[in-house]
Amino acid sequence: MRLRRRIAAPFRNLFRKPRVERDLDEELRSYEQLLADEMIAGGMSVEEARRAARLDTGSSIEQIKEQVREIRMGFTLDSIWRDIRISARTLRKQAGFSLTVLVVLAFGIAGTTAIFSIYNSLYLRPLPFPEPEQLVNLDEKAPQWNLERVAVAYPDFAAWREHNKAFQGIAVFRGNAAQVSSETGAEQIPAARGTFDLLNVLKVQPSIGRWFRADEDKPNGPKVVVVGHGMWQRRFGGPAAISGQTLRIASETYEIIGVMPKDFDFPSRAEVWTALGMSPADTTGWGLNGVARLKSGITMEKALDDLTRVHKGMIPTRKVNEITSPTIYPLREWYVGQFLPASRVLLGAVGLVLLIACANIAGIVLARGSSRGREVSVLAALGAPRVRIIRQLLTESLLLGAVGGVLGTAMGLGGLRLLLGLMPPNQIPGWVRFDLDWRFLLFCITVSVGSAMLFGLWPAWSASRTDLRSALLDGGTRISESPARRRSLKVLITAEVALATVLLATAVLLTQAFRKVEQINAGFRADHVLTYSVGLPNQKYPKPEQKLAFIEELLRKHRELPGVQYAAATSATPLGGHWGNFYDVEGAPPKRAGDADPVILQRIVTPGYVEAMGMTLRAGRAFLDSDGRKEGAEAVIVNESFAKRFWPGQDPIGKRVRYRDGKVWWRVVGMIADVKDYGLDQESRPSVYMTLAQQPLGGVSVVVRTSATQDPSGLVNGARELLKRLDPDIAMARPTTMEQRLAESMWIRRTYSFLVAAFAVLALLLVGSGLFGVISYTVGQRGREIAIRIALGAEQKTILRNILGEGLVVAVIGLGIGVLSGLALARISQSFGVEKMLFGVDPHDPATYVAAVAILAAVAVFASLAPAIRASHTAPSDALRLE
Amino acid sequence: MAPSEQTKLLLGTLDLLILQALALEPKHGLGISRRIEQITRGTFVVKPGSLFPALHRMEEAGWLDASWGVVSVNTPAAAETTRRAKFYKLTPDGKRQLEREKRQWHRISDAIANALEAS
Repeated sequence: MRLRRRIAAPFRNLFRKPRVERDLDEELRSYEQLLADEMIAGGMSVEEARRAARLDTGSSIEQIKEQVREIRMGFTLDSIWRDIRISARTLRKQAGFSLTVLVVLAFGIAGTTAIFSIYNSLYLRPLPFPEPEQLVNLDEKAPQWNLERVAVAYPDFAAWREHNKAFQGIAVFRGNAAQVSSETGAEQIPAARGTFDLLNVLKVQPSIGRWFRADEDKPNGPKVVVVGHGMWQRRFGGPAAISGQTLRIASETYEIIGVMPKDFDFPSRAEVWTALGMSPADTTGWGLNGVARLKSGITMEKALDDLTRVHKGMIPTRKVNEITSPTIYPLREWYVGQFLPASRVLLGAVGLVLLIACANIAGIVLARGSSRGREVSVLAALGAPRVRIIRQLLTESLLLGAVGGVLGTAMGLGGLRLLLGLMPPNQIPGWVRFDLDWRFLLFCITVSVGSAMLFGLWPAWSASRTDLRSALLDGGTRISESPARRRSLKVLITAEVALATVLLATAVLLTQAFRKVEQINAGFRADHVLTYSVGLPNQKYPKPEQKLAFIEELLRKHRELPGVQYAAATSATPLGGHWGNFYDVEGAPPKRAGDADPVILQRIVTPGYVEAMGMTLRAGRAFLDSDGRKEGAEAVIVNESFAKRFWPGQDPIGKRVRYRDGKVWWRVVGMIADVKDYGLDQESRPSVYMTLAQQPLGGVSVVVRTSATQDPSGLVNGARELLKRLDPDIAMARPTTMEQRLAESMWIRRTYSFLVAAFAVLALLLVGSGLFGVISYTVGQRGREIAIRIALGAEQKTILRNILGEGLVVAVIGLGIGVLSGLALARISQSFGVEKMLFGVDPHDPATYVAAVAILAAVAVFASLAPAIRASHTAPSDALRLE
Repeated sequence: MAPSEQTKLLLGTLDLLILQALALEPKHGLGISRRIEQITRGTFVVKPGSLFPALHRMEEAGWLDASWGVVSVNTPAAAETTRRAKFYKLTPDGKRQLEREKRQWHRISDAIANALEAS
């Protein structure tokens, strides 16, 4: 009782203040009462006694309390400071030990803090809007069309807004790119169009001026624009008031009516906003994003029911709402939901590394404890209570933990910065900030202290139990080895091996998945292709023939550039986005109501596109110049998925398709192999390609294939000049090569696979060094015994095998536990949502576990080899030297 | 003795007196004060304002151990009642400290006695 109270004293004073205060209060009252009792016994009346006692004591109660408080605090701080000073001195004297622990701890914490920072910034920090938990993303789904996210149609939105009961406000918006002109030429700037109530939903106000009014948000409304803070500074010098400044967008003049605050970023990275300007009469399609703010107390489920009620209620006048349904997601999920499984896996992986690191350190401290045993016993003999010793050792651990934590956090942040520097642009929303906040700091402190406790507590406890007598009698620098200590070390190593096995298996699985994805045939050749997009302003090129003529001329000029093999244009390149439509297919199996009616991906291209993209023709021919140019010459090319779906087992060439309920039928002239339009690890959709001549567009991506000796990015400047000469008001947007684009699309998968593999390597290093340390330690402890055995005639080989065997036994047990744990995890892996990460690789795949086991076993053998060899070379005479 | 004079004298010797007061058996705060009054034959009456800070200081230093106990008192109204009180007792460290303080006190008082005789 007494011991525990002594060790607890500083903690009690620091953390249990209310209890200490109440105790003191009660003590003083008790004094007062006893004083009154005395007086009563001396003859005073109860009333007088109470008053007298109160006078005697009561007047100074507050002072007394204050004094006692100061005294206790003084002792506490003194105590703590003394512990810290002594610990620091001790640790400095054992520089080797301290440094080892610091390095191991720093690495463990570095990874943990870096990954947590990512997780924190993406999923824990509130979105930069007032009451962000009320904000949701609205969308529509149509399983029959094979679309999870159809986007919102304006008529639906108008009805939702009018008739809903669940939301404070609903708005829609659409991201696009604005061609902004200036003296230096045209720029393509990320932009957005939104409804007039968008800011009300977000509860944000412009810092200067205003947002659109309801009467400005209609078709053919006034040309007004709101700009972002960055643009306001850059182009206009950031004046405090608006005074008639204008912006030239798509060859038209827009008046600036407002400036958004500095940190406003919605939707991601937009710099200028124009009014959406749509009306409910606009029934042509779905393409809007919805954002809404829930009324307080309304859950998403209730809101969804309400919205569905409104949506389906439109069916009499809007039949398509039978197929579409509204969906609601938390706004955060819309932004960063895709990273969640990977973030969780990374957190788990790095947590394993930290645990292994702590086990490692605990082992080091335990082993160290035995050689400090003498020092500890001397301390005990001098009268230091066991309590003090525990507190001392614990303080050492905490000090190591604190320093290691600071080092580790710095390393982690540095690593994170490096990682972010390598990230391709626009992978994450603009509002994600990786700077430090209180959550992160709290996490770092918790992890550091927690780790210190993990690796410090147990060794401190067992070290303080050193048997005084045997310690001093033994003499020398070592304590009699305790079987308990060796068992603890073995347990620690086994645990390390088990954890490392799980981590290694995960790394192997993810690497397999990555390789699998990498090897997928993309359906096109990404090498030597330059691509960029352009948008023709409607005002300047109102007629379809004008658009077509401009683009064809642009492509002709491109072909004159050196090293160009093919130049073509497309509505979107692979990985460039989705544009869906519905088709009537002649000769397809008849459709019944309720059948799946998948949306068809549509691409509009120029002749030469198939060659420029290196797509594979499976039947028929690619486009000719004549295709689509006049009536009767319409032609389309389909992909294999389309042919398989609608004309299974038949030759698609010569069959006909047309727009759903369209007038003109188009002939299929060719079939290409599927292109991975949505990503290498995504499914392809049935696709239809047609020529620009058949369906002129104002916004296309230019695609240029260069010869093998010409680097495509070298042509960017030449192409930009071309474009400028043809029309200086048109900007070249996002020039890049297809290889870059492909690599960018794989960036997330590549990053997390790499990180998990790196953590696995780190774990291997830790386990290897841990095993090495433990075996060396046991060999050192048994030096005398080994020398005697050799003197008695044991062969070196036998000793070697024995030591190796001991190491391997530990490793094998650890491996067994690890494999079982890994398989158990695999069984419940579905609930983690990691199917997409695994990409079809079976988490129970035996080859993976065999590989992991083999690697770890190899590491175990190597780690045990050196000390085992040293042991086998012990000279028999050492039996006399070593005590 | 006037209170202020008493305080000055008390400063250096309060610890010693408290330790001595507890030499025989544990006591609570008021009891310690009364015992000191008793063994100094009325010279020192320790008020709570000095007593409790000292008691807590000595407890933190490890010379005293405190625990809650009961006192039975006789009130005129009823028979025995028990009151809760915090009792202090000497720890082994405390006993050693008492010896140390005694020795120190004797040294000092001898020195001063010599000084006074000298002139």
